[in-house]
Amino acid sequence: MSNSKVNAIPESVPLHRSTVQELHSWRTRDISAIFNETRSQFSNTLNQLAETDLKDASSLSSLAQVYKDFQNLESQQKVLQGNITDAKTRYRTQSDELPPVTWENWDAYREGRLQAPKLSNVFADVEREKKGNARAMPNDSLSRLFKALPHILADPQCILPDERTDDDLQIEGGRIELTCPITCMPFKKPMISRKCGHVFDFDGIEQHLAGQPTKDCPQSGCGQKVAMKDLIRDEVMELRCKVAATKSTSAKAEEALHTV
Amino acid sequence: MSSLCLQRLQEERKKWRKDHPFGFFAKPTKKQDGSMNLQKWEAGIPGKEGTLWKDGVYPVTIEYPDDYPSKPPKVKFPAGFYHPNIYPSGTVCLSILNEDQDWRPAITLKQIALGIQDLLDSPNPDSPAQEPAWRAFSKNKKEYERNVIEQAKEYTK
Repeated sequence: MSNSKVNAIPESVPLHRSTVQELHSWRTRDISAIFNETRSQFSNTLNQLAETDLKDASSLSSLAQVYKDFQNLESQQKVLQGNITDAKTRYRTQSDELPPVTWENWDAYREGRLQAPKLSNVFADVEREKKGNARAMPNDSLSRLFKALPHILADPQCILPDERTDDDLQIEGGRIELTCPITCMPFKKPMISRKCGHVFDFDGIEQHLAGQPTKDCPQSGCGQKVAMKDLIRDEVMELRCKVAATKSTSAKAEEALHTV
Repeated sequence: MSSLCLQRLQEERKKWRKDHPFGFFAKPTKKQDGSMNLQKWEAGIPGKEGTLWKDGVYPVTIEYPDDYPSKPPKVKFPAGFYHPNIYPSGTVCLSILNEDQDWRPAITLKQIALGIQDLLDSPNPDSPAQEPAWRAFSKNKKEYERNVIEQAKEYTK
């Protein structure tokens, strides 16, 4: 080090008290609103497609990929934001451990005996460290719906590829029933049990539980218990019902056309 | 009657009319004023082909409690019906009709009807409900068979 060229001024110096404020003000622009807006547009598209009686839904499989790309973009943005915050904190800590620049230690900083951190290096370090644990995007409900959409548009009562491994779903002749097993009416607000995957209408299961914390799953042969807290909205079933309703309306309209 | 009970029974009726197993019948009874009593049905369970029971269609009444489908319906044959798992009163002893055993709200009329038809020719010797049929079934098969065939004649199709 001493043999190499010695700088006329230090390569870096610790963060000065007066610039701390400025460091704090550097942050990435919050664009979560844009992501949320885009997501709600995806959701609208999905709903519009469910309300359209498409004869050929095969081309829609690419929509799932488009949504996945969008999710990746959002996740990258989040990682970037996190890295910037981490880098700022780390830079500040490292900087604070060093004595402020004075005439007495100027040479030490200039010659590299004292080395202050560089923000760009710290950021590069953080990025390198975080690269390994980049999280895979979880399958959120929209991504599941986009994957299911082409199948459900072809047949609202079909068994989806990812449901085939579950052998105890409510399947009659290889079809998913669109009626609640308790009320026997078409689903209005389908709720799925996270424990066993059985689906019931909100009203039906609520009246069945009748204020009791837990009961046997109403599906015959199911050994699980069910409680209100185990039940979540079944958006796939909602999609099935919506598509089935669209198809039946359009079938009726077609029939009416023929009678005329 | 809860709204759930009424709603479900209306749907059960629709479902049954749309599709029910061959040889069976089931319909709500009439109240005195002539209106329909959805909580009490009359049904006929045919004996299975190839069994001792084949010649009969056996009448049952099905009574739905106010908290159906949380609680199971009560199914009754005529009093004195000859079967090891049927009480002298005619009440059927079957696990899917027992709230503490296998009854679940998802069980439909069709499943109940088919379950009872199964029970006719496959009695459960471990849950006797009446003396004569149970004793004959476990000790004297000849007598049991004769009685079952005799009974079928009372309820010919």
